[in-house]
Amino acid sequence: MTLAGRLPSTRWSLVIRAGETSGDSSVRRLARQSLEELCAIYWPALYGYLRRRGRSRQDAEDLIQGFFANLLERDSIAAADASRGRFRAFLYASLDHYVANEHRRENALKRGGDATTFSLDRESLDDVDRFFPADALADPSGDPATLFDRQWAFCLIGQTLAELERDYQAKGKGEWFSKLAPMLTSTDTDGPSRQQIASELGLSSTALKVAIHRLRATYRKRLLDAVAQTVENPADSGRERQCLFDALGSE
Amino acid sequence: MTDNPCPRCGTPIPSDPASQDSGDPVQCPRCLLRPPWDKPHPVAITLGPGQSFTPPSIEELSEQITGYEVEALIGQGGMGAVYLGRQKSLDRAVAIKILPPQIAERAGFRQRFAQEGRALAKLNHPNIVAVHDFGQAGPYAMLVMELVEGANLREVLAQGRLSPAEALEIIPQLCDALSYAHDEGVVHRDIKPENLLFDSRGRLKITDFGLAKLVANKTAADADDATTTDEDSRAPDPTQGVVGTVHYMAPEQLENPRSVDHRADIYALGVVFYEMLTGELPIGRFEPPSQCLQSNGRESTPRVTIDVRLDEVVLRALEKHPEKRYASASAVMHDIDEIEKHPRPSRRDHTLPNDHPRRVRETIHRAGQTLGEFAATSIESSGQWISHAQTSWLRDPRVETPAYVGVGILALGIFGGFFFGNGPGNGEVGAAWFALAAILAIILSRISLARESESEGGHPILVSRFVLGALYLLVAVPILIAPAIATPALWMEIYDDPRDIGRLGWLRDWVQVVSLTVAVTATAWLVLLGAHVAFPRLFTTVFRPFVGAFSRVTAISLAVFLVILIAAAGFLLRQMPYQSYTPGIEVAEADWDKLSPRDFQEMQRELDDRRRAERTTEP
Repeated sequence: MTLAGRLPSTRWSLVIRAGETSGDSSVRRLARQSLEELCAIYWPALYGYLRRRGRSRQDAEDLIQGFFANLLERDSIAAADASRGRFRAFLYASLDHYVANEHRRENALKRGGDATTFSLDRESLDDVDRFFPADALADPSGDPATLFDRQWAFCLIGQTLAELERDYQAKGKGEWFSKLAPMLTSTDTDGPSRQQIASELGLSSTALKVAIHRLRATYRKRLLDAVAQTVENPADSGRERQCLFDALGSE
Repeated sequence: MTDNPCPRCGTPIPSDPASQDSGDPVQCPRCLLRPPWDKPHPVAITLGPGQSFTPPSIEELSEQITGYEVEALIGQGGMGAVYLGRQKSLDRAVAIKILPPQIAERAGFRQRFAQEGRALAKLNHPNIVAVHDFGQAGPYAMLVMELVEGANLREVLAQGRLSPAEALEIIPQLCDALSYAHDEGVVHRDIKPENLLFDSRGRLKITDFGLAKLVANKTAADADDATTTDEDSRAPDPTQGVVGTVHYMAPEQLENPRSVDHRADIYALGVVFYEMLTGELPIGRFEPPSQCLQSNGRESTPRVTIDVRLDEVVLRALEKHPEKRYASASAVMHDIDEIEKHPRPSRRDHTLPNDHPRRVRETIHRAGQTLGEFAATSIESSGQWISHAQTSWLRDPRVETPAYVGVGILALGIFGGFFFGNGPGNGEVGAAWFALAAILAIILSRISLARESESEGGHPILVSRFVLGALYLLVAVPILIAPAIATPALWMEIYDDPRDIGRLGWLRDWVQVVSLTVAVTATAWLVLLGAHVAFPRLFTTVFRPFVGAFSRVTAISLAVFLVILIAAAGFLLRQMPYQSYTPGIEVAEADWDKLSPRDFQEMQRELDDRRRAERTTEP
């Protein structure tokens, strides 16, 4: 059962389609909302990328705010943009373009009072900053595209896990999540760790296997869902995931 | 960033602040993106008309169903599709199964569906998924069932083969449900891992009871209804009317679907049992489960031994001829109960007469591996007695050899120790010689022990146990009795020898020595007991195979006994304490017996001195 079968459209496809079909304010509203949601999820990837490219915190923050404001103000995603099939590729190209023109923009006319803003809250910035201790911040040696993709993958996984954890907590199973989460990457089938988890959660060994399966299945679905939301055609999500996987492998 | 490489893919794992706070281990992002378990697993597909069927979208189906909300498609198989739904009236989550129109539109189906539906809805068993409702939804026949939010056996098996203990927890539930349903006159006909669900508490729930019969072509399922002649004249299609899953179907179910009775379920149960224990399907000339693990589990998985009696249960359930199979699911359950009640007798005790050909075959097979064809033919031609005597050697000729070599080395060590240690000043050489031999003997015996446990845990080898037992005692006995010897020795060092029986204060001396010795020894043993309970693997590993983990009852009762001993000794010590004696201060004659032997002697000496001094000054 693929996502394509159930979801007629992804967030990114909504954004793109709104640019193509001119008119209808409800379509535009939906597209704008989708874009905002996508930006809210993935800005830490952009921020982390800029920081690792040697930008200061203030600098990176300003750039991202400006970039997103600019993005949200745009009427449409240019049809000619070759990278628009995938949100990640699109953002990377657009961000580079934006940063290159930053100096010119600074000297240009200030935007009007009704300019769009994109807010980054302090706490999240702190979180992202903590992720990168000062000595590891600037990494000018790495290939920028790979650097960007790696940040993107971290962000995707972090968001998926956080969302899943919130779900478990809402069901009063926060403890289950913290105990079972290591099983998302573990393949040992009957190690002592399993027995320990089972006794801590008061589960039989079969019930533990059921719980692990549920967690894995939900996680997988959410991850694929999240990836699919960033591509125009859900059938491309497999390739998108492989691309991120490759980026994480190249160090 | 502190980068530790991922143990699986070697990618450096960046530290994550969020998880550092909570103390969780950080997981590899690469493995999270494409988890190691996320790979396609084989699925057993039910043969049936549902395969070419495209399930309707949620919206399409919602229009056809009243009383239920359709929320998501959660599965599709050979017999239709399953949706997650909500029963509006009771506001409960349900599973809605729809059968494809090509089934629902068959002549006579509605009537049969109504009959069968009633029979299925009557099944009320904790291990059977309940049928709440059934009916038509537009072109589809619909069954509303209890929703089981868990995992099916296929998904559980994807996490690794089950241990025999886990399998033995599941099989009785399966037998119980099958036996109940068979008594109610319902045969499942499609028992397979995908139809065995587990709820969040790990309890088995069988789904799709009797559906295979409903879905089956009417020419097959309803022999009585086959009145139309045109269908009979058609060219026979070998899979016509067969509904089931190939590897789980009893031979007679494939050959003649009409004659299927409850014993087809017993066969499928045997297949599932076999798969649980071995992770493989019993196809072709398959080995019994215990042998299968022997040959396949060698390098990858930790060795699990399967009780050979389970082989017999599995093989009897898998008999090709239904008459030879178990007659009922409760008979399977009975045999499994028996096995669980009397765990692991020796292999030879349980040789059944009808089992012999298989056993001889196994023996020959192994002999062929080890000694070649010559041995195989010799066994075939030799009488039963000889074959039996050879069995233990041929099965694992390597098992006992180290034990005998170990005994030889130990004997050599003992004689050598005496021989070398005889001369003056040669004690160390003798001791070293003996220690070397002892260590070698232990190693060899442990090797034979390990091999023995590998070889199906059959007959224990006495020789290796004798060597190990003797050498362990050399270590264990001193540890155990050391406190009982050291305490009185130390006591005498401090207080001098206890006084002879009958002399002044003798009782107090003996009470002191004995109580103190008991208290110290019991405390030492209590510490050992505590260590054994806290780290059960320590002593069991060191003193294998003689020391096992204590059961809770044993440990507690032993501890209580020791604590009582300590308390009693402490009480006696307090009851009869020594009076402290300071030279120069006179002690009343009535209290003399309260002095320790050394103090008493000193007091006496002082008294003598004083008297002597008095005598010299008097005149």
